Amino acid sequence: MKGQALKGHLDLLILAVLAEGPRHGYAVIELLKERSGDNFDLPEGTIYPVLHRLQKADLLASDWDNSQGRARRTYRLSDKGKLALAEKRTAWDQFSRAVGSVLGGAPWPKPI
Amino acid sequence: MAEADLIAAYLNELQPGLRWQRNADLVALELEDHLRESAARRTALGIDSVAAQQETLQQFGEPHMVALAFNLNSKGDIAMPTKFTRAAGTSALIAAGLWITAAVTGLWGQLDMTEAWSDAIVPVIAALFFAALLCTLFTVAGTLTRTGGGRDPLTISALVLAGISVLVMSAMPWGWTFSALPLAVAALLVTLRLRANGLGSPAHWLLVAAWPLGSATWILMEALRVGQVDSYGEYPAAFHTGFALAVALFALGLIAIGRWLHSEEPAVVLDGATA
Repeated sequence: MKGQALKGHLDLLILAVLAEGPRHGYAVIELLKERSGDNFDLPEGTIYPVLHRLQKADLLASDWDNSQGRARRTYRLSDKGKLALAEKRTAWDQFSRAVGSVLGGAPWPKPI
Repeated sequence: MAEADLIAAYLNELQPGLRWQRNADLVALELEDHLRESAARRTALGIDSVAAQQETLQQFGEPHMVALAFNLNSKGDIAMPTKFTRAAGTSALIAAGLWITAAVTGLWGQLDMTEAWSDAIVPVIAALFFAALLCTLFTVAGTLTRTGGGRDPLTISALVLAGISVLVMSAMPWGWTFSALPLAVAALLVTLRLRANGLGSPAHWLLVAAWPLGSATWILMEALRVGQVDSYGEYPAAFHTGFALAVALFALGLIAIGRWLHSEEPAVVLDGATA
């Protein structure tokens, strides 16, 4: 999936990954790649501004720790983020069903 | 021979593009953690250190692309200092001086506060208002540009409201108690936009509070009948005190925003886009 097409959905994807538990940026990116079968063609460095923007919007919170010998920032979903994720998930479900219908009932996106 | 630290070189190249971020050092630290972790995992798979770093950096993206992504606002507009925003900072400082000059001019020779502005002084005040308001309008435009504001409804609303104040306050300076309220609303929109972009400072709220507080002071002192009554049946002490308070607070807010905008080095070309 090209980066430009993905950008509109990055918030949802990041919130969904963090809904499973707190993670640092590297782990978020790794999980995004793993779950998408490496289909997201986006420079890894551009994920961090999204994480920061979501935090500014109070959808994420973060903490620093030094447990790995390096200063590391861990993100977690806030209560507001959980609500936003639910809304975005509903909107995506409606959108994908609508597109699927238009395309003749074929499942979309294609199962990986 | 020392091993090449490509990650350090990359971060050195990236950091100038992060300098407008709050806590830019922490941002760099976070990105370095990612890069070191990623390179270490590659090295653990048997890839030599230099190749591991090269692969990591390739995956991470060009420094200017990453810096640009950090300087986009939530709508995807570039939110960076420019020559225009720096000029707006200078304009804010000039505006602060003009507002204070207007307040001092209004009080000149009337420290007994037995009358509001005399007929002779009103044209001078009107001219000072006009100049101060134009500079303030320019500051509003520059501040919104700094947040990446383009032609969205909030930007247009703020500029229209500030423009209304330019016209009405300059034409009827004695009516500042009401005609400055659109300016206060414009300041509120600007301050909310700054906050949404993580650029706000508590001092910016002075711009929002100044005129309403000045008007409230005037209304309260009128109600309490403070000082002498003039030929219009009003209380000049209330008028002058309210105006002085509003101007003092507004000037402080302008100085805060002016110093900030003026202190930022304009960005140069990034990814083909002139900021």
